[in-house]
Amino acid sequence: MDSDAGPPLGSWPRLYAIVVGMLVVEIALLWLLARTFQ
Amino acid sequence: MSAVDWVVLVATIAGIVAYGSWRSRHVQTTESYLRAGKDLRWWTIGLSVIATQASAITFLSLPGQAYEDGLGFVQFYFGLPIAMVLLSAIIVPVYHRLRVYTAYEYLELRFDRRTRQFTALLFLVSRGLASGLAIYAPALVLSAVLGWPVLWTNFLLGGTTIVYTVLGGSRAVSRTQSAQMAVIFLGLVAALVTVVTSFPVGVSLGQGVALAGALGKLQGVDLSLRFDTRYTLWSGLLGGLFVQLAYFGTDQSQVQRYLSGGPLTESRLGLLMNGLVKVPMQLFILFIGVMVFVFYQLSPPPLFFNGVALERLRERQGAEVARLEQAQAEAFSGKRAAIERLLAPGASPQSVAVARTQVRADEARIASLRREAGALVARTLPGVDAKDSDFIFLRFVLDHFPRGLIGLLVAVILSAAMSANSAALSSLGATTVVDFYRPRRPDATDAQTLRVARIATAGWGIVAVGFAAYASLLDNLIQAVNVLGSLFYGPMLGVFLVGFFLKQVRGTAAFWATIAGEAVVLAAAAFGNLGFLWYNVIGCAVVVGAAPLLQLASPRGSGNPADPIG
Repeated sequence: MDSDAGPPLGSWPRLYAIVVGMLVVEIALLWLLARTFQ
Repeated sequence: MSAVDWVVLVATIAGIVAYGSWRSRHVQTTESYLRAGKDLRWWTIGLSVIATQASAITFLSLPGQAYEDGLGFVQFYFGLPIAMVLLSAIIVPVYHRLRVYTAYEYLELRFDRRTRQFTALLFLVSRGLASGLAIYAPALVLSAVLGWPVLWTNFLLGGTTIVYTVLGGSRAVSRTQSAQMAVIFLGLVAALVTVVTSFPVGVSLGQGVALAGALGKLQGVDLSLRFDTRYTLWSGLLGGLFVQLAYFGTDQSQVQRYLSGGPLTESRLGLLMNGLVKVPMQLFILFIGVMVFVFYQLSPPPLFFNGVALERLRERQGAEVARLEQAQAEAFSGKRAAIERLLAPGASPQSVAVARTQVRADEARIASLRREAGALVARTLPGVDAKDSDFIFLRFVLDHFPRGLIGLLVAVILSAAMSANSAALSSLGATTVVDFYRPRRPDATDAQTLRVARIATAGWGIVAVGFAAYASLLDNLIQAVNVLGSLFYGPMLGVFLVGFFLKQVRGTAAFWATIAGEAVVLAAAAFGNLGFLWYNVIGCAVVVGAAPLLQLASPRGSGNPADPIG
C-alpha cells in the first residue's frame, strides 16, 4: 500500500509549484478583470 | 417540467444509481464497505473528492450569491490549492503509513483514545448536521419543480440516498461520483451557453461582461484588511487555508475518499487535481450567476424568485403585490433605457458615467422592492423565508431553459446532492464503527461489524433527514453550511497539527487543549463580531498554543509518545 513510485508527470515539488502557480495566475487575472471592467 | 425533461431526469439519475449499485455488488466485507478499493486511479479519486465537496447547495446557492454580491465568494476557495499541496506533501503519507481507516485513528496512535473519540464526535456532530442542510437544498428544488411540500421531497431524496449508500458503502459512493461529475460538468457548460444565448438580440457576451463590471459584479479580489468583512483575499488565503486543511485533512467524508486502500501516489495526485480544478470550477459557477444577473438587467425579473411563494402571496395580498410589481416595472424601464446608453458604441465617457449612475440607482431600487416583497412574504406566509437568493438560478432555469435541458439541470442538482450526501453518510457510518464500535467490541466478527456499519449509515441518514426538516429557517444555505463547519474545524485541525508537529505534547494536554479551543470558538461565535472564516484560525491557534503550555504544566501527561511522522 505504501509503494510510491512518484508522480507520472515529474517531481513532486514541480507539481506543487504548478498548483500554487496556477492560483497566483488566477488571482492576478481576477484582479485584472475587475480593473478592466468597472 | 415537460415529459422530455422527466425522461432526461429519471434516466440520468436511475442510470447513475444502477451503475454504482452494479459496480459495488460484491461488497461483502467491512474492508470493501468502508474503503473504496485498491484499484482506484487518481482521476477517480480526484473526481470523488470534488464531487463530495460540490453539493446541491453549490449549484443553487453560488449563482444566487453571485447575483447579489458578484464574484467575491471565490476568495473562500483561495486557500484550497495550498491546502492540497500541504496535505499531499505532509499528512496523506502519514495516514497511508499507518494504514488507518479514519483520520481519528491516528489520534489514538499518537495521543490516546479520548482525544480520538472527542475529535471523532466533533466530526459526527458537524457532518451530521451539515448533511441535513445538504438534503434540504435539493428537496427545495424538487418542491419548487413539483409543487410538493418540502417535507415530502426531503423524505424522498434522503430516503433514496440512504438506500444506495447503505447497500454499497464507500465503493458505491466513489464509483457513482465519477458519473455524477460527468453530468455536472456537462450541465454547467450547457447552463452558461443557455444563459448567454438568452440575452436579447444585439447584446453580446462582451457587452454582458462590461455591464456586470459597471454594476460592480466582477470584483473577485478584495485587498482590504477588514476583519469583519466575510470574504477578502486575506481571509480567503489564511482562513480559507485553515478551513480547507481541516476539511480535507480531518473530515472523514473527504479522508475516506482518498484513503481508498490503493497506492499513496494515486491519493496525492487526486488531491492535487482537486487543487487545480476547484477555483476555476467555482469561478465558472459564480460567473453563470453573474450572467443570470446580466440577463435580468436586460429582461424583467420576477418580483420574488421563489415562484410558489409569490403566487401564494398574490392570492392573499393581490393589491400590494400589484403595487410592488408596478413600481418594479417603472424602475426597470428607466434602467433599460440607461443600459442602452451605457452599452451604446462610441458613447462618451461622460455619458457612460451618467448612465452607469442611473443604472445603479434603478438596480438599487429594484433590489429594495424585492426585499420589500420578501418581508411581505415572511409576514403573510408563516414558515416561508424572506430571502429568495437560493431560488434565483432555479427560477431562471425553469423559466428560460429549453425542454430537455431543464431535466438535465435538475439532474445536475440531484446528482450533486446524492454524491455529497452519500459520501457524508458513508463516512459517518465508518467513523461510528471504526472509532466507537470496534474499540468497544474488538472481538466482533467481520459480518457483525459490517451489519453495524450498515445500521450506523442508515441511522445517520435518518438524523440528517430529521435535521433537514428544520433547515428552511436558515438564511443562505451555503453560508450556513460553511459557518457550521467553521464552528468545529479549527480545533479539529489544531489537534492534528499538534500531533504532527509538537512531538513533546501527549494525550491529556492535547485533549484539554482541544476542549479549550472548541469553547473559545463557540464563545467567539456567540459574543463576537468576526467573519466566520476566522473561527478556523482562532480555534486552531488556541489548540496549538494551549497544548504545549498544558504539557509543560503536567510533564508526565498520559498518551502514546510514538511519533508516526518521524
